[in-house]
Amino acid sequence: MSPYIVGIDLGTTNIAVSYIDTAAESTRPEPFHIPQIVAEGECDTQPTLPSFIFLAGAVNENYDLPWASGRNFCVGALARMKASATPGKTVSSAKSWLCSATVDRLAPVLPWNNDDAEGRISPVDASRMYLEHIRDAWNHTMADDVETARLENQEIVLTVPASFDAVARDLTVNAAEAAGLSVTLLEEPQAAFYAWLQEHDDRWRDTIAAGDRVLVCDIGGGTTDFSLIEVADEDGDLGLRRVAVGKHILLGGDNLDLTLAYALAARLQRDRNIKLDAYQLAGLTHACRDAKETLCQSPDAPAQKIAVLGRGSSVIGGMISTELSFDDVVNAVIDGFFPFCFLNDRPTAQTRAGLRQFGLAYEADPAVTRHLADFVSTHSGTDEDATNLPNAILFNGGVTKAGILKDRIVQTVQRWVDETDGELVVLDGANPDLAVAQGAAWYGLVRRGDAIRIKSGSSHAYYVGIESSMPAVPGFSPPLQALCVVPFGLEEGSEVDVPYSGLGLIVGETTEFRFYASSTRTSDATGVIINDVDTDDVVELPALTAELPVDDSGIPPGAMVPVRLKTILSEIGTLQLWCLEEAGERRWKLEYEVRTAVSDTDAT
Amino acid sequence: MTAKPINLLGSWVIYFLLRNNEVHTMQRIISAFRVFFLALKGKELIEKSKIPPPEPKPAPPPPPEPTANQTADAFNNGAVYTLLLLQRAGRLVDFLQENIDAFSDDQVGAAVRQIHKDCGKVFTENLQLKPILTQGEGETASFESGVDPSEIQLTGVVPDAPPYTGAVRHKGWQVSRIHFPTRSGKVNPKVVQPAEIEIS
Repeated sequence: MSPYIVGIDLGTTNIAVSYIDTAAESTRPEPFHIPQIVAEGECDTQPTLPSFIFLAGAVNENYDLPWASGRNFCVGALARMKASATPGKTVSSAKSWLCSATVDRLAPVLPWNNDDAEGRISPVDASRMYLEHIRDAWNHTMADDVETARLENQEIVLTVPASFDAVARDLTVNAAEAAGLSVTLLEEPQAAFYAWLQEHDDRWRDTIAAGDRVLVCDIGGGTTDFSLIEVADEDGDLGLRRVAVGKHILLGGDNLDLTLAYALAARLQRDRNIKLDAYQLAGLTHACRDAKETLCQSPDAPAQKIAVLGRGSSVIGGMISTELSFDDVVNAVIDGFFPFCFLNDRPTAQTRAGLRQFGLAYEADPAVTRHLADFVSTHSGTDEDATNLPNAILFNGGVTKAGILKDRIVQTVQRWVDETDGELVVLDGANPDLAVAQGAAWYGLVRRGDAIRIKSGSSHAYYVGIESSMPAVPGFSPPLQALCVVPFGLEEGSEVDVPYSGLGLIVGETTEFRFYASSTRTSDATGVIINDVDTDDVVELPALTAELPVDDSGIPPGAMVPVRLKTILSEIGTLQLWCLEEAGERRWKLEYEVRTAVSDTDAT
Repeated sequence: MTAKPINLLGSWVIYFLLRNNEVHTMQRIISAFRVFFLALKGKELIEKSKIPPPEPKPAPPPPPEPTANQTADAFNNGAVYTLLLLQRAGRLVDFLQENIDAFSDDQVGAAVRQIHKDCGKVFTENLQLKPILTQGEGETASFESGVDPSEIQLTGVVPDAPPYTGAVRHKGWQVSRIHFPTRSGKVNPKVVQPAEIEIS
């Protein structure tokens, strides 16, 4: 077994690493501070690595690290600073692209606003480069030429959003493998919950009891992720089970800061006819973040003075000063992103503008609370019988450090709970910036021993599209049905034989299966067929393909080989689909066809 | 000191040349040379008449060319780097270099508020400060034995010997922790703020 257990929180905007030294007396996860380029020619360690890559184009010795030289890129703090000055050369939010089925995730598409294909990398490349940086930083700091201490030789738990589907998880594992790391995946809200368990040692049983449902609310820099964990009585002891995960919500702390900045910029233009350029807007966003944090900690604080200093060497000449009041924060952030809402409120549906820039599918409705209402009511029984509401809430993510935002979410959920005479307890979490990495390392230790584990299994149910046997109508393709091949909650390390015959692969050709996922259809069993895949609770993923070479088996090219499907959810959390020959022993693995963007297949 | 006589003589040569403007130019130049050599000779005489100066100390060997790392170290520990950090964090150098006479107190105040907040990060991240005295200003402090005058300055009616007792007028500051990023030896250590050119 490896001397260290390492937890890596590969966040959308920040990466954190935590480790347990198994030889040490304490099993408490320690933070690993990450050396990185913090300014031109300056290297320093910081608690987190900002998830930014600056692609300089030419080699620049200022990006030399203690372990690398001759680089034409840099990762981390300096790259984040470059993002506002040279956005066309800076990769950011790569993780959101990793789960975006609208692009070829293996193709060089980032930075998105750069038209020069030469200077771009793929979302998977970006994840690999972050992990390579972590690997080299670790080996430089911790390994000291001791082979067994190198990161490649450690047990690594890598966290992913609970909302990540099988394809995004597979790509994450591929990126890790490309960086030479073998990893086990863990969902971020679960990691946050493990951090809470670890912090509370054995005392957690005093806080939660059998029958409790814990809502984990993880609001990071770029994404929001919900999970529901149920506490059950298992032969007299408490058992934990992750019973639901939310949809992928592209909303986070960065949106709040930008919204404040845009609100102030609009006011400056309206009242004083001042138009800000990109540099000033970046400065305003930075100042708004500081002011917002002050106001959210202490609402009684006076309106915060904000000054965007002049860009040239003249600081006061060219300065724009304004102020941010508590009311501004309430209007733009609290009422904008966290409005009170009813449990039966839903996020406003996405309005498709005629000419929308083809980019990340940012949420149409910024109200985190409405997304939460959608999640909670979906997983609390039917609308008439919403008795199974969460009665505990655990927060994670940088945004939840702001007491007032946390309070607003608690008050909102409290109102829902009050209607059913329920109660709500807020679990005090660890450091919301580092908890996920810490919980991930702790999970690695838990896997080795007999400490309590959250039973989770597959976060989605998966379906394969099959053509229905309805008579064909000229001009219409036959309606598509979906066959459930993985039920929600299928445990890691299990295999499922799909009880369905009538599938076939064509010899000498590539056969393609359409592939679907749902995080809300939690009761479909393997083999269930749903008739309408065109519903909101099922999303299409990249197709699955299998290529059957012509071989010496005597089956002529073009003939169909009848197959059965077998699905395997691996121990590390990835999903594999296999076609087994009905009549023989041969088997073929289905591959995710990530190279075809989903929107393209929709169009055809 | 030895340069002075020759300077005086040199000045006299020029005076002589200027005064004898009725003499033929060539002759004048020759005379000038003669006088000049005389002057040199005179200098020698003066030198010889004097007590020889002490042997000059051998010039210290020229410092070895600093290696890249030494430059970086000197830079890391140096004042320029602190200036750079204060400028980067909060534009302090820009502010101190700006002529603020033309601006109103409101404008200056707004800027200072921002600069104050941003520069403060340097004191939390790079140069942590702590007071020298734990007592608050205005409180009484007593010292049974002597004090290090670089740390504690005694003012007012100071007795010749300890114990010293008095009111704390300034609690003092000292750096309690220094943390600087590692600098590559390849950057220009004189730069406090790089110039910027925006290409559109």
